[in-house]
Amino acid sequence: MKMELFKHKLAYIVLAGALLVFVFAFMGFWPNRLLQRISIGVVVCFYFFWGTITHIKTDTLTRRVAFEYAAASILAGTLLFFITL
Amino acid sequence: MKMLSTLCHLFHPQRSNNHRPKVLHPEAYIAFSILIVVFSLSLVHLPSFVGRTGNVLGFASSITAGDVLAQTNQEREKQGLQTLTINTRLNEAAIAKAQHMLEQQYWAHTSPDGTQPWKFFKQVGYKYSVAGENLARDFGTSGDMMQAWMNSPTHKANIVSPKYKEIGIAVVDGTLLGTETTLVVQLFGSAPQAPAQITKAAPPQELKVVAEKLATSNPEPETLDFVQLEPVVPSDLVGNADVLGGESFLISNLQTPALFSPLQLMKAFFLAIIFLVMGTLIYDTVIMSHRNTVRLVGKNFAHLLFFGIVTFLLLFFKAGIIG
Repeated sequence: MKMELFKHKLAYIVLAGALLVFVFAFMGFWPNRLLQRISIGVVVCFYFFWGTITHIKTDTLTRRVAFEYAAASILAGTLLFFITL
Repeated sequence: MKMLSTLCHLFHPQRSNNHRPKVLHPEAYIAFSILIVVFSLSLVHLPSFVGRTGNVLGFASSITAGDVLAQTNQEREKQGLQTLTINTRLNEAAIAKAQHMLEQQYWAHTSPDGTQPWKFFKQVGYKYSVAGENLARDFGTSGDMMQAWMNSPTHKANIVSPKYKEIGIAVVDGTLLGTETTLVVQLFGSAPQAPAQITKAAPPQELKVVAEKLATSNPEPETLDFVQLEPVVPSDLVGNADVLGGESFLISNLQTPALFSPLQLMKAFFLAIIFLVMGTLIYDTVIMSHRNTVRLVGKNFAHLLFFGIVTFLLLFFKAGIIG
């Protein structure tokens, strides 16, 4: 785990920074549900692209890996979208 | 034995699941997503189909009109504005608006049949030069509700507008779209001095609507007086849905508090799923760190970070809708 973090520290810093911005945006937009949903859409797309780009850079991207990031993004997006209903 | 092998297949990285627990496969994520959609839509729409959900689903609230008035005036004082006084006609108009929403089962400034907010001002004979309306529902406390209003520029504009001198507040428990909840209606007004206009908390293009007529008499500002309401249910669901209760100082709590709010149920279900996924991710990370197996899968740490953020937001998501 430590090796993985150290090897890709820039990628993880970008991910952590983006997720932190998302948390503040999501909470700051309350009670505006529309803006909250837009921010969910943005972070879901970001995570998918972050995953694929990171794997492209290490030459480990397969269709299955891209599908995994897409599915994980959909799961997170669904959870957050429906809580704002 | 078969049960154990199924559990291993689901949660333990081994040859049968290509060294990745089945729960962490993309197909499983999609299956969880479908489950979440079905569960959420059932929870949102089921009460509308079956009518009331008894005392099971609903939002418990401790909001009182006294608190709403005190906090509204606090916000005005912070801005150096004059405090608002309660006007009983505005109170009646606010109650009429809340009743109308519960009877017609809608949540908006304008009802589906086109009834505008100022109809309720006219109905009680309140004459205004400027008027406004704030709505809220599903909040547990008046503090959260006031914070939500103050976070919204259009609602804040009503609360801290120097044009308003009087206020009417209704805190009404009832069943809206199958769920027990508390509706709060704030109506603002000022006696006519200039050409009439009405403002309501709505998207900016709808913010100001010029009213057509100015009424003749000026309502007298009344002394502090609130109205307490009995819970209201739509007339098509319960025989006689008579609404208005007594007159004086109020406390308006749900009389038979609901067991769970729909939000609580959703949170519990969602958290169960996400904890299952995160627990499996952690287990998979620990197991695979002790093996020399090479596999082409997504990064567990990134997934954990992402789902961790989702968990945090689910835990701290607050109920309440303003209008």
